[in-house]
Amino acid sequence: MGKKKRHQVFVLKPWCWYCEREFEDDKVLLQHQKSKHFKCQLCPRKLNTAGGLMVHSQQVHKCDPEPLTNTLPGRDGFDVEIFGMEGVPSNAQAEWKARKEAEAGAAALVAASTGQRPRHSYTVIPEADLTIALAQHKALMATRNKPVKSISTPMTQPPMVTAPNGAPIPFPMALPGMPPPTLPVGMPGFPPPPGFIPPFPMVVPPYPGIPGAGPVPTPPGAGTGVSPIPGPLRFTIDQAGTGNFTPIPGHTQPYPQTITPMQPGAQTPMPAAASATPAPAPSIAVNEIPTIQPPKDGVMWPDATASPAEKRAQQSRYRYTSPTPDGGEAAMAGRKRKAAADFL
Amino acid sequence: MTPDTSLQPPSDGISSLAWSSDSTRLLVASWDTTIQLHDLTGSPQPPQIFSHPAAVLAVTFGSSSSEAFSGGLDKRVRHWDFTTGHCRVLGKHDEAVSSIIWCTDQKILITGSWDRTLRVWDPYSDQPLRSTHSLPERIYNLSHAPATGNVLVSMAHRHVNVYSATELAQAQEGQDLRPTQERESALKFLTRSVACMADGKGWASGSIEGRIAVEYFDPDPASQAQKYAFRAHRQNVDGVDCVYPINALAYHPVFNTFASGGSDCHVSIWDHTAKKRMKLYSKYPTAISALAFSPDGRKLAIGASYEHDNAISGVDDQNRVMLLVKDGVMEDCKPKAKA
Repeated sequence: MGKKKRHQVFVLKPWCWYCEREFEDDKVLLQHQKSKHFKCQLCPRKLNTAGGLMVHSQQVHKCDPEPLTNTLPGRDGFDVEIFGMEGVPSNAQAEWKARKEAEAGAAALVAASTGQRPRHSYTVIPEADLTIALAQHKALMATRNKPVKSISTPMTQPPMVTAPNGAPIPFPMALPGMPPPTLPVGMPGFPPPPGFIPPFPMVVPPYPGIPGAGPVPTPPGAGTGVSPIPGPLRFTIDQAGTGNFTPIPGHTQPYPQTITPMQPGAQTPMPAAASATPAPAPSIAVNEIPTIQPPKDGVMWPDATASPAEKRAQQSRYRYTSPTPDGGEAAMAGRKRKAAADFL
Repeated sequence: MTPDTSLQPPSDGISSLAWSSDSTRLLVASWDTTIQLHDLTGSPQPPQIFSHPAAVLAVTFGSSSSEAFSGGLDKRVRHWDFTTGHCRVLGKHDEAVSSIIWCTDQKILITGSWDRTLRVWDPYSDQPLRSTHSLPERIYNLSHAPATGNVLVSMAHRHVNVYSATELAQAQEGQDLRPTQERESALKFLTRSVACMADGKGWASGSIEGRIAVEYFDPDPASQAQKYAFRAHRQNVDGVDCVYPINALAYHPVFNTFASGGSDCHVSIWDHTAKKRMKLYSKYPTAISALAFSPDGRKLAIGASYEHDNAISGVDDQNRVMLLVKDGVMEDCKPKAKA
């Protein structure tokens, strides 16, 4: 960094001798000189040099020219012939260079003194910061997972929840028919590791720790409807997702009801789902996620075999199920149940 | 320039628009499973809503402005009587009904479906289904040119068939009518929309790849040599030439010029004889789904909604549905006098 700066010290930008202004390149400098300093006062003509302006004045206007305009004091004469950077007196050039170097050097020094401190901090004591960052990240991930929550079927057991005999709880997918091991009621549940991604995020979310709710009893195999534990509690988030919890008796519940926390209001963190449909089915969910980025080749409908309407008709919310004319809410629920059942 | 009149839109995408023959009523078919009837004679009112079990893809008025026909994803063809609000199911297809046209002269209803059949119905008979005609591909669009009695059928994989409405009306059940013409679309990509010219001599078709073709029915080589295609509804976004599907085409009933609407949110008016664009309306906030000129030629109904292609990225814009009526389009659609 400092090296680069020091290098830049020696790159002098073109500058105007008449007014000591710096320019990005020579072309701009020439334009500037023509319009600021070599402009004839008597006609719109602009000349290239001071000499040119003098000749122009004498020949066209038959008079001696006015002193040059917009210059620093003492630099308004016609004795020095300057064209861009050419013709600048060498002493003036040296003086300018020294001045710029001094300025740049000072600037580089300042930059170096301030710039080095953060560079050191890369290697120094990030530990405390790290723990804070980790905590923040955990909280973020927890809130992300929160709304896709249903206590119905724990897809994965929290890492430290084991049966009293030490055997890990069997994977709940294999649960039906298998007696789930008992669990001490009131044993604290543990949140899943941050960043945990449920294998089927939309329909059967994992058992996430409910942030801010404290320990929650974990009913293993609750989704099966067979609950060997006397009176374990289930919790659902209320519709607004405000974090108020309603205990639900842990006994047998029809399957669709266990999905109730997944109403649209609670779905917001999955942007695609929120935008797409109130009741997306997992198998079609991929189709319903709108392609946010325009395609690279600019073709907005790349499929040459099916029309947009045909693809759209395959989305779950448009799927036609029953011929009953009033198929609003009931059809929705039916579709949802079917989708979940298909998937299980 | 008067701004567009905004009508109460349906809650999901607009699939089809239809005007009554007296230009006073507008029917909107929507993916929200309804058809909505707007009366444009008086002050703006909420529409009458008629719900279906599934999304509606096609709608058309019958001979009068108090009856209409609809079809959609529930595969059934429905006959609506707006005076009584009564609905009669005429019959069904094996797949979703994608388009519907009413032939006033022959008093027949023609429906096209993704089940690769064209069905002809007599809605006033006890046995409404007159005949079924199988086609090589899924039917996407139907268009009727009353002036020449041609019925244009556009299908998947660029098939285009032309039937005669009289022959379709006379066809008996069990008879598989041969089309008058079997063609391949002049466009190299999937046909998205078609519209017959008001003078019935030809049609315009739009593809999913930002191109519009103008073709003629007359099989004479001189007429066929006149057909052409041009690029439209494209945009250069950051150096990438974006091509948008042309979702809607509609011919002006008086001046025989046509309007096109695409997923690029633009509506243009074209003069196919002068091969010129006459008007490009300012951009709409979301894709154009359907267009329909009123039969008196004064108004253009515009249905704007997300077409589930890749063109609309914002979630807000994807959920936006607009139903607009542009008044005073006579002037915009009048061909300029040749210099």
